[in-house]
Amino acid sequence: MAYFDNANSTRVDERVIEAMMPYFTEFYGTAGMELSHSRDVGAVTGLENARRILAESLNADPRTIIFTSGATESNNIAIRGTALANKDRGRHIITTPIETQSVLRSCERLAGAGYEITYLNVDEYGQIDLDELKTSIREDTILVSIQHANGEIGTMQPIDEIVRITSERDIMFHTDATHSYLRVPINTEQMMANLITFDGHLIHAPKGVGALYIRRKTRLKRMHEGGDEERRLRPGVENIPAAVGFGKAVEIWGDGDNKYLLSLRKYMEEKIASSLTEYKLTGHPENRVPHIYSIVAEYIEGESILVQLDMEGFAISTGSACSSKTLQGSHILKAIGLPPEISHGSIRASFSRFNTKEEIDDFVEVLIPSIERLREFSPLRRGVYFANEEDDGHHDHDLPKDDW
Amino acid sequence: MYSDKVMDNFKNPQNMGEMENPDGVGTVGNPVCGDMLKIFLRIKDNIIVDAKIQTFGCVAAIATSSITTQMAIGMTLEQAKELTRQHVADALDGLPPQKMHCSNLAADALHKAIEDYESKQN
Repeated sequence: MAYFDNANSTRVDERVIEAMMPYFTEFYGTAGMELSHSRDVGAVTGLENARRILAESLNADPRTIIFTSGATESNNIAIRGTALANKDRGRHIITTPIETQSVLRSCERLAGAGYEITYLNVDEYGQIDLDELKTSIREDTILVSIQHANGEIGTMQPIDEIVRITSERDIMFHTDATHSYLRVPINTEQMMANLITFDGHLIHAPKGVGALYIRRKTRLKRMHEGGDEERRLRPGVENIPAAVGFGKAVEIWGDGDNKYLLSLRKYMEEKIASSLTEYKLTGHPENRVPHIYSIVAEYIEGESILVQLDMEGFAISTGSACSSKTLQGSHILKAIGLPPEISHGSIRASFSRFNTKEEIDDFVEVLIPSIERLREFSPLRRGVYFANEEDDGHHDHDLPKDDW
Repeated sequence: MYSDKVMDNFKNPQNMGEMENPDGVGTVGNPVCGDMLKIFLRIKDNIIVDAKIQTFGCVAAIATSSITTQMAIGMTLEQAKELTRQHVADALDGLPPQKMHCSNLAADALHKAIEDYESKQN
């Protein structure tokens, strides 16, 4: 029994829950006014303390941090907010095809409103080419949005170099650091990004709270209208208990945590390498976050592996089309050039401080025979691939219509 | 969510694998889509006496493969030709809507195998 899907979401740490409780039962006011009753004062104190902790973790001033409902919202504010604020300077945005949906669809929405988006190529590991970035920059480029680390394959982008390029040309740089935050150091005094997205639920804080780092003097149009919360950039009563939890989660992230995560991943790598055949690791071998292990295994399909492992008490995830709501395969595996029949066999295990080596032992003991069983009756076993050999007229993935 | 019958057919799928000297073979789907089925039939006196199937695909694909072979064995060719995706899905106590195409594949594979057999008779 083990949960290896921490890049999807994480268990909330006991200490985080404990830190949050008083903000449900005692300091349950709002953070609007400092000179208010004690319920409000308690709330604002808690919120501002959390803000300070988050800022310190990036070596930044607390005024750079706004709380949001999560990475999706942070990405929307960052991308659409800067695009709109800078529309008189230009309408060209550069990003990558391996970003999350909130980045991609924010860009698509802007494309529909007269902006032009360039999607940089990524190599087989998912890394961008800095030269291609340089040559893609135009007179009218206003924003570059490139994730710090990929949540599916773990690959990290060279954001130090990227931001050097963008700042030289006075172009805004946004990075979605959801999967890299705390796992690698981010120092905003050295890495001068304008906007950084990060989220709580991946680091043992609750869901529904994220943050956006906004460098001083970065022009941004707000997405919502409302009161004066979060410097009017993101009005609305904040999720104070969750923000406090977020702060606590950051506070308790230990120096040893990342070393431990790396050791777990290395252990998983070794154990699987010694017993599984016909698979390969995905993502960059070195420039990657410590806690994500992802492979593609041949001849089998991801959802059946996921369900089989779940039956045995193990949680992992897959990028296979069959397992997605829309029957679309992972856009990341597609972007790194994996043929669809291979990417259907994708398996991702992602670790947290709660995982152990014993869990990995148990997992591998179940994984190998599970894969073997599926390979036994797979028609692809003999290496016979025949894509579109026959007319497949009836083979339509008819998704049920959403007629609400 | 998958029904118990689907899960049973996933945990213990019946008739999985190859057949030597099959009388009819039907292949549908393709690995690009993520579903591929290959069914083998043994036919005697117009009756399907044995069936085997190979599957590359999700839980629904495996379950529909397994149940289709079980339903097909003992059927006459005419009966097997009448088998539809709805019969397959019903035999599994239903499939999630976005997985119905898997049951289509299984029924199609069976029909193709019968076609293959019949074309060899002439």
